[in-house]
Amino acid sequence: MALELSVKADLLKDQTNIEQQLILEIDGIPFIYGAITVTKLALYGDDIKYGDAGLVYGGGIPDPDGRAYISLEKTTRQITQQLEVDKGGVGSVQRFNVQLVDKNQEVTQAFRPGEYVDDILSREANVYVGFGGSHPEDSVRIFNGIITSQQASPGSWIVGIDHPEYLKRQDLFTQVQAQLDGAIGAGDTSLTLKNVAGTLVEPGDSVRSYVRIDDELIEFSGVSGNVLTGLTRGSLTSVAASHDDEADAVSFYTLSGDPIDLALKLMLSNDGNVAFKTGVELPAFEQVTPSTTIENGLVFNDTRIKDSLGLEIGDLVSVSGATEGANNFTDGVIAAFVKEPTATVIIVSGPTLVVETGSSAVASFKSKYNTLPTGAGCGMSPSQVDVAQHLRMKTLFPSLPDYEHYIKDTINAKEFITNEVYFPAGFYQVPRKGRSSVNTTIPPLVLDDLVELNNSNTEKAATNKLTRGITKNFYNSVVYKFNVDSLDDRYLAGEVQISQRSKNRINTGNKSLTITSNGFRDTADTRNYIKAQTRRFLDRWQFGAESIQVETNYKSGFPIEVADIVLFGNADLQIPDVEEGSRDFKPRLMEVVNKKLDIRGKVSLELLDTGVGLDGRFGVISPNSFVGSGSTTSKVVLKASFGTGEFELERDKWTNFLGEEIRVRNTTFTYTEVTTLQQFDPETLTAILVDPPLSGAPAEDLIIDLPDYPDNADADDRRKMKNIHNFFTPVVDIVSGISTTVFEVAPADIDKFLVDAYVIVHNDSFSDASTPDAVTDDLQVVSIDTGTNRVTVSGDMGFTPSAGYKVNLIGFKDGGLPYRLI
Amino acid sequence: MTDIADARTLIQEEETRYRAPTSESMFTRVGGAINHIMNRQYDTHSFFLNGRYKLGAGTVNLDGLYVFQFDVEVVAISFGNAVPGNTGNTTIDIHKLTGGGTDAGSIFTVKPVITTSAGADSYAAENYETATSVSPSGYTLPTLTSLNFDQFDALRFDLDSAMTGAENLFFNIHFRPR
Repeated sequence: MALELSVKADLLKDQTNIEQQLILEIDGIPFIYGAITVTKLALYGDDIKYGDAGLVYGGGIPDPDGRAYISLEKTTRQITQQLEVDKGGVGSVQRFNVQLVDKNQEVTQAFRPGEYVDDILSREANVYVGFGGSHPEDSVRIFNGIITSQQASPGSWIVGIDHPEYLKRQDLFTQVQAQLDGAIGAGDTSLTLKNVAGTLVEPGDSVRSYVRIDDELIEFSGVSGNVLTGLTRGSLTSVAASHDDEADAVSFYTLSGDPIDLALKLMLSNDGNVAFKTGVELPAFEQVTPSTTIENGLVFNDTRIKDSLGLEIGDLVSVSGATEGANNFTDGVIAAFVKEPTATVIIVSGPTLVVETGSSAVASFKSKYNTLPTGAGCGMSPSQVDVAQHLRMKTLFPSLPDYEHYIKDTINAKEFITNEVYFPAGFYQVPRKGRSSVNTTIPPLVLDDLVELNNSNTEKAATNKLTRGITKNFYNSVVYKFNVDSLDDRYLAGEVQISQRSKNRINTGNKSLTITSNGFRDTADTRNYIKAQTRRFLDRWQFGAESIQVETNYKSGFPIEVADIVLFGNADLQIPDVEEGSRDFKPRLMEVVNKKLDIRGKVSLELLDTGVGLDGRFGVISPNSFVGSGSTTSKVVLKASFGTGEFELERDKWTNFLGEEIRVRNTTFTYTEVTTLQQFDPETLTAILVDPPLSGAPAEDLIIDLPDYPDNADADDRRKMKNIHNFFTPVVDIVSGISTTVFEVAPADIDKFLVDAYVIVHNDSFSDASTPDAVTDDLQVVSIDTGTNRVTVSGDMGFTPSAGYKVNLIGFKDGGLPYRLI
Repeated sequence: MTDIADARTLIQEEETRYRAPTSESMFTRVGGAINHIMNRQYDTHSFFLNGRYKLGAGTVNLDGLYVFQFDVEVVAISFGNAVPGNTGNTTIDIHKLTGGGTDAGSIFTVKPVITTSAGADSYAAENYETATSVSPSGYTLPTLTSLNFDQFDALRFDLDSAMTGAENLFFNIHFRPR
């Protein structure tokens, strides 16, 4: 699920009677506005006395900066998120209004220009929902944006906040039209234009700058006033020529790089590459407590500074105002974050810090993606961009081809990022976590904690309608047009893939998804990526994705956001299962494509099954943890293992396994034992509780693992884990080839085959292989003779296999499809 | 991005057999083993001048040429001699040859030097992968112009100068394909 709740918030939201809190924070305004009293964690030094009203163990104390001025009457109550993935995921840009009661004219005074901020307009604002816990620890941010309006009404103010996507609605690379100031020859290396000083985007990171004069593109490396210097004549396959005085000149740029990097740079770069956040109080260097020091650590008294500012490793930090000169530096690189009970320590590389406490130093932060030259970036802050999700996409697809965009005219940042950066590479924009985020058009993969929706937590089950059609969520071919010409707008290359499987099954005409890419150039890497992405698009839409509307209760639906994957359905819902041909609906992974959240407690979701009719399954690598010391037969302590980060709990990776079987083993498998993960230990954050008890207390450094795929024909046995994770499929050696459609295997292997199973038959080098391209059907098993151990497949392999040829895919005894590469 | 730690671990059949889950543990072991190979396996070519080598001072192309068969990167060097000399310095030079024999100049900006204060059977070494080195008295570690060499580049061992009486000089270059 996309919204991350603290442990306490997660428990509080499950209460039957939710005491709901709505909180507004405005950057620069010292007050925290709430619908009810805003509470905070009690800290050493806070003015509290035993017996104070409302003071309870584990509870909070009223925040002295809190102001319970929010009126829900004219405050936005419903947030809608909608995906249109086949259009690049253009979710409607959201707006959130908050009504503030102007008690004693305090709001009017706080909003007065110059009182706390120069102007309330354009200030960043965050809206949180709370469930009675402390703010900010137990609050969940549901909206982030920029204040774009303030409206006074009798006794109150209404503050209008627009989603950060609003910030993407701006022009970049503004086209400059000018004239030559003096004729130039074909070999000149500088030229002068009329009245262009300060208007051209100068070359810099990822950007090369040109002017087009007549049919020549001239690259320049520097600008001085109206003079362009360092010219490279006849660039981008144009031809160097002489040009007359007053010839028309038009700006032209190339923007190059990895799609994810480019999206982040376009959003996070600002004019002058300056800090996005300044003046952050920095009270200590290296010394966290009198007994704890962290080398080269900046100590901030804010446990959520990483999340609230959207900081990432590699971002830059500068410090001024420190007493110790060594602690003042510029552009240190953030190397790590360390979470302490009441502070966050940011470890920097570059400077050599010394211990300093009680400091009046201030820090400023700059994104590592703030690198594009002036005029090329939106100037958003990392708190408005889901940088972590972008980086996750980059990890999923490490071989993304680079773009080289030709920018011939002014671009609208939002449209460009959506249509030219995200979509051709298979990504789509999505507003999530109150930020501008991204997702990818792959079949459902469980990359977060999985929410299960079934008859126990959905409402109006009887009216749930499963919808499928060929007018929506259906394409049977994909057309890519790319490699646009530098001088005109023709696409010089293309790829077309038609799904014959879809056409065989659904008898309709061509329904093409056409993708035009200005940035893809015609290279082997690009074509390979486009072919793979074409298959992903067809996997999603070639058989008509099924969708269904459901309403959920608040505790289940609140943390879900669009683009999340949920496990939906069970037999009690009495929904037809098209694939199974029954109303015994099997749980399946579906993507949330539409969400309406009413902050008073109602959640409506539209779910889309993007895996209909696939010839394979997709899953993610399953987790492992090392056993820590102090475990018992029923309580297993977990160590931070396999790269679990400073801000993460090891047990969180097992959230989807609650109620599921897990295996405890040593590295050589001489000891294995299977038990069931019952719950997380409520007493300690590092342990899980299992039942049945293990035969003995597990030793330190044993491994917690997912058991093997069940060796039986019961598809419901561990169905959830089969849906989420990958397992190895068999590879069977052929004993002899009988014909181009029949082969024989060893007696021990014949029971691995099922009728209808997909297979690929090939030799070691794949010079003989039964699948010539990715879109054509793989062969299927049509008959199995257990007497002769012979398997007959659905079509001509194109060769008679020899002994030693391999049979791949095959699937599992329960009829489960093989797992394939995305 | 963080590299998986190098680990000389063996993969168990139980981890990759039919029906086994593809897990963090399995991929970490595979990745650790691959990284171990990538980071720690290397090839070495040694130039030797056996016995008293003073006679070779000022000579180019001693002990033959070494031709790389793949693009390589140098991960370390080591050099030393068995018996220190009485006077003078030993200065080694190695030239890169390209295109079947064209001298592309020295591979050093600072050449390796051994002086008479070096001990018997002593040596110096520098590992560029780990950025660590050992350099006892009497040794000057070289600085290389580039750690990368291309396929069919060759190394030629020259002796600029030599200590009187010094014996058994060696220079090892440790490299791996890139």
